Amino acid sequence: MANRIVLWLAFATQFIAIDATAADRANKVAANPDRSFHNPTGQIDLWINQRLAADGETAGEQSSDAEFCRRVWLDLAGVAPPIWEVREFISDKEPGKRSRLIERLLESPRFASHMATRYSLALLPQDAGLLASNDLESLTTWLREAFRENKPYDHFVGAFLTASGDEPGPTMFYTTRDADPVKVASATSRLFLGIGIDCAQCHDHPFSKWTQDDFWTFAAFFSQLEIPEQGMQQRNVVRDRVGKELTFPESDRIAEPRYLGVEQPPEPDPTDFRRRQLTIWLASRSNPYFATAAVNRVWAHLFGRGLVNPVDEIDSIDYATHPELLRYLSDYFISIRFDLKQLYRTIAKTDAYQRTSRSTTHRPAAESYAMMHTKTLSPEQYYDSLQQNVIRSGTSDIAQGSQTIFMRQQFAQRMRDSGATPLEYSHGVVQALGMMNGPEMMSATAEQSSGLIAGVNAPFYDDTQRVEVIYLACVSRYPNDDEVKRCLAYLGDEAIEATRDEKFGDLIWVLANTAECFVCP
Amino acid sequence: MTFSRRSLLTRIGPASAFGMSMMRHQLLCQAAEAATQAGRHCIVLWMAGGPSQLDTFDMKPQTSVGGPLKETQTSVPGIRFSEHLPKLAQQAERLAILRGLTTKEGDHTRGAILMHTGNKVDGPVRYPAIGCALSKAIPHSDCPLPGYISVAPAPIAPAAYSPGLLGPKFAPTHVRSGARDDADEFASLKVDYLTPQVPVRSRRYQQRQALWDLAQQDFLSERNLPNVVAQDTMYRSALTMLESDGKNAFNLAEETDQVREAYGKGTFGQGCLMARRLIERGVPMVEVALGDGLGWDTHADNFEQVKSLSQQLDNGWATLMNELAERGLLERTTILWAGEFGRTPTINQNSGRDHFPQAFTCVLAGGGVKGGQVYGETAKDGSEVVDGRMEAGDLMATLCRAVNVDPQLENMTSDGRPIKISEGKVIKDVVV
Repeated sequence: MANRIVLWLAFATQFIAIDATAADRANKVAANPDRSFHNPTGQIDLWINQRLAADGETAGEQSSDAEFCRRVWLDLAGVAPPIWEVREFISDKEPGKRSRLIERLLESPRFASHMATRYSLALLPQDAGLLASNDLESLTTWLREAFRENKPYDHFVGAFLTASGDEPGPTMFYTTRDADPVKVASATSRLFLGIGIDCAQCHDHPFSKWTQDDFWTFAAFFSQLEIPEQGMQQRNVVRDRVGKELTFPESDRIAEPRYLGVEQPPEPDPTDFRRRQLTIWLASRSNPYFATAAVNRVWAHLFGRGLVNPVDEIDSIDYATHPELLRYLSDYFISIRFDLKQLYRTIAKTDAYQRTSRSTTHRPAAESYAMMHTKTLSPEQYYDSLQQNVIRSGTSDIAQGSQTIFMRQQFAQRMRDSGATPLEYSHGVVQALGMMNGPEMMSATAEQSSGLIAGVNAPFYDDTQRVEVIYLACVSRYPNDDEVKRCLAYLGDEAIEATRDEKFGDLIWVLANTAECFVCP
Repeated sequence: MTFSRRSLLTRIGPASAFGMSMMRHQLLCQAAEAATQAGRHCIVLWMAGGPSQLDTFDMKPQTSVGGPLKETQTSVPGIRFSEHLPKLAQQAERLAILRGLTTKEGDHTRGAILMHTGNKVDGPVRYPAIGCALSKAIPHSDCPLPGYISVAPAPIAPAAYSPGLLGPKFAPTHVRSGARDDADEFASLKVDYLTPQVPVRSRRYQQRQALWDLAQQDFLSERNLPNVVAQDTMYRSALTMLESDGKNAFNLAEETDQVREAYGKGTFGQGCLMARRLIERGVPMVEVALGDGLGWDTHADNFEQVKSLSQQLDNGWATLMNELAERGLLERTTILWAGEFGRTPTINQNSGRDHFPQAFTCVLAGGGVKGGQVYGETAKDGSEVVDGRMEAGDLMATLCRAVNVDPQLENMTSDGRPIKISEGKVIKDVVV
């Protein structure tokens, strides 16, 4: 126990030391942080706004209702709002409707699904393109369940990292990396500590303090991993063999496990189960990187960039744009016992999150948070929105359902770029051609397959209302007068050789291929 | 004035360029000039499965490892290779045969990735395929087509075609082969997503585009942000391509049957023809695969299979070089012949050869390459490289130099780390 405290102190002081430099550097904020965490939402805005004032910037206006509705749906539910949701949200006159929507989405199963998709992408190696879909499904199911029950983040990570043979989902984290301690250690430190330590695999890290020793002794926590010879039924099984050691490269020297940056050896584990030994420190409040990395990732999810950016460079916290805010959020997350939903709730309710991304004039830097910046949709967000609002094929039919899953995978594989941040658009001509002429757009715009075209044909609509419905479905807002006029002119243009349904398909094509449809506003 | 393509064909060969009619010459020069402005080109001829060096370019006749296939004298004194590559044998002065390749990757997927990137497989850095890196490095802004087009890529190693750290913008456009090759018909090659549902010249298309254009302008005026601008730029380039004549490059029916037959009717031959048409239109990087998945993976019946593959290879490759040369394009186009590894000197009990990365052959040809030479040597029993040893990285560095791209050119990872295209060493004897 004494050992544990020493450890903690060593960490805490080191961390505070880094942080103090950062605070000195920023030295612009003199606030009384709300240490009791009564009003964390307000406190976040206070940090942001004080910094804006110090930099002579003005905060942008609040987003419009339609803009907010599309944003919060895409961010929390992973999909654009259904048409009727936008209509209802805009016409709702009761106060507090934004907070109510946030609450409702966080409690909906869609939030759990969206988080599961996000995490499965983050957890698997970037080029793991050829995974059997039922394997992937077992991982997503495990994750979905964890997010649905809102398992505290420390428990979640602990359970994830110590999963073994009878949990085929999480073990994919190891099997897709061939149970190689080097790959697993790199991924673990990036994901859960926010530290890209893998550069130290071959040489001491050029910009930060990590050495090759740090890397290899950390990787030693995964030295026991092995993949047993497997039959066809037993996929993605790993086991831990006590006594299996990792040696330093080109040497016989055994790497003794050490927590990152900690001199003292870890407390022995009763059965010498090293992964468990690691999680006792890793997913705990005494490891300051853990909570900081988590809140930084949540921030990046909602704002498109981390307070420390890239998100796996938490160790260079000196370069955080708002170091005090990051530290505050980290403390807050610990104080609410790693309640992930609560953290999302708190940040989503800030003014900073709810500002507009619209500006025709001056636009302050993204990292000022004076305005929201548009985030490029992930392939899944785009595909699911198109599927839900435009194609609308029922998933009750099993064949249809698996066809949809297949199309979604194909689309995601074509569009995937794990290296890009949401503030970039990394696709090229090839992807643009695939968007315009690919099978998804065919389904969305052909009268036989597009549920939206069938829907707008309802006799109680006039053409203006039909145009409205198409706008709501594709870009989650009502069209303005100009837009209505243009679309009506197109529908009425008799020189165009196309049926009415084909013309509706064309309007869908136009909107589904706009930049507006590719971003979260 | 007309001319007979057949009569020209019979005269195809390095020396035949002088015999061309003036009109044809002019036509070819116009196409060539367009290509000159676009700079250099590179074609990778990918031998999926791992081709047998001992039965193609590094033969050991009359030895225990030699097998039944025979050598022939080529147009360069002293250079001998398989008699089943007769047309290539007539243009050996264009080839630099590299007999000293050696790697540690004996697995198809890993070997394909290594031989496409020249860099460590599976390390922390996602290295791009050489085609992605070269298409990024060679300027081709006037080219109405994608910068890297890959014909019939081997499906087992998608990572071998990955743009990696360069991002999906630099991913290859795939051309797929329709059905299995049939001896009687030309292989049908199809490009993904190049045909819009609405005909380009119709009023419908134009009015629809006008609506899209206004929608983009409106959104950009209020959201002038990097990702929005990038989406708009990429879409506009894609639309230019759709609306241009450049995509006719993919329509092989524009060629006469005689020309198509000279290349060979199969996927590889027709792919080589497509490569020529793409290079004419300024595309910097083309890859054509031979071996329908893993065709060169000759664990059994090696010699018959290699014979038949060699015929396809000979027709496609030799015709491609001749036609490029006729158009003045070969001197600007570097060709790399490679597979994931070589095959064992030992012949197994199924008359096959197994995977052998220790010592095998690749070939460079065309622009920037000092042809008419053999570089490197394997032991008499083929078991190891005894001279002119080259690793995958050296091959890529040498290829870059031949294409006139600095192999030390750096690209940034997403976390700002500079990564050179290749850290290998350029084999100076091989490049001009």
